[in-house]
Amino acid sequence: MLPFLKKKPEAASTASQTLAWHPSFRNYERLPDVKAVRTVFFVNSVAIVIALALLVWFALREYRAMNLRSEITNCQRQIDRDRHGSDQAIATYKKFQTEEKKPAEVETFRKACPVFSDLLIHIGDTLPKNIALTSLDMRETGLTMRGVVRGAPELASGEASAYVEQLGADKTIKALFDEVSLTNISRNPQNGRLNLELFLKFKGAKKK
Amino acid sequence: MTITKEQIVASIKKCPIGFGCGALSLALVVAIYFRAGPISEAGDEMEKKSAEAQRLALNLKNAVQLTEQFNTLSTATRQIESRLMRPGDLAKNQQYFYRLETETNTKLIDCRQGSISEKEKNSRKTLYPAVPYIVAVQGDYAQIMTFLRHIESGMHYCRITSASITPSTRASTPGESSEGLLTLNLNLEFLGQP
Repeated sequence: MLPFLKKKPEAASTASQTLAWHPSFRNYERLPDVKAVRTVFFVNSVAIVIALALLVWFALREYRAMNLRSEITNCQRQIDRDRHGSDQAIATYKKFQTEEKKPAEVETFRKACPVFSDLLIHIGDTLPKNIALTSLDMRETGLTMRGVVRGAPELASGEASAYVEQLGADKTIKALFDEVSLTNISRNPQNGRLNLELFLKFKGAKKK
Repeated sequence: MTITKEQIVASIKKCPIGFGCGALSLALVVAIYFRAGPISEAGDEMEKKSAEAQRLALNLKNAVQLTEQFNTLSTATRQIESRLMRPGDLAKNQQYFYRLETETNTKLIDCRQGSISEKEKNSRKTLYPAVPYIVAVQGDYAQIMTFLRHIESGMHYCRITSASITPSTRASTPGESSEGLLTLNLNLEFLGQP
């Protein structure tokens, strides 16, 4: 019997306070349990509850384990079914990736340099009436344009600077070049016309 | 004070249900303790298998049209490769320029194939080497533009690395006037077969 469930001997607790008027011959160990609800009942109840709780817990865990095993079997079946197809798909995808690089490289190759004919056509379309180009030179760094401006020198220089501004504001030119600069302007002593030289620096190119 | 065997038996006889339940509880605790490891391992295995199954299923799902796409891509790649220049076929390559000359009515002044650098040959970054060419043609503005258009959108993939257009000082054919004639100097690169 658990010590806290034992009936405490009253005499023992009060003995220290009052003196017994006669000796006590009671043997508490051998006296019967006379409580309304026997202590054994509580002990048994607690033991049963604990055992039942543990049993339920154990059963639930085992049930979960059984489910896991069943799911593992299902997954394994699914893996075995899909593996061949998946391996084939992976192999095809690897080939696809190798093949994919080829068109991409062609695209990179073509986009590395501007389409010169398109650029020429655009420059020709936007060229002012009084300016004629005499030569064009495209290099890694940019495009050098040389030309002649028709008209009196005082008006021609204005036309030249207006052309530089026009090129600088042009969307197509801006997409290809970082800056447009007038690198040389001089009068031709033979015909009195103004010669000009423009430099259009490619985007990301080093200075000339 | 020692507990004798008789005392234990007496205690069990006095409270058999309590002792029975206690023994059962102890057995269950031991069983739960020893079963905890395998259940946890089964959980981990389940997670792995489930992830693997999901991965495979996703591979199959994503590869529904992969074969068709791969076939289409392969066809496109074969077409690309048929347009690549063979650096070794010098005569055939030269013929390409002569054909362009005839088609555009220009005069081919210079046409030389450069050599592919060893660095580029051994480069792993690019699949196809660039075959350099130096070309000079003479013609009027319209002819030069047609030549440029033809070469840029021709059979071989081409890019112009540098170009210059200048007025011709003398005609390539003796006796002809150079007025209105332009000279186009090009440094080209064609995409070549490895």
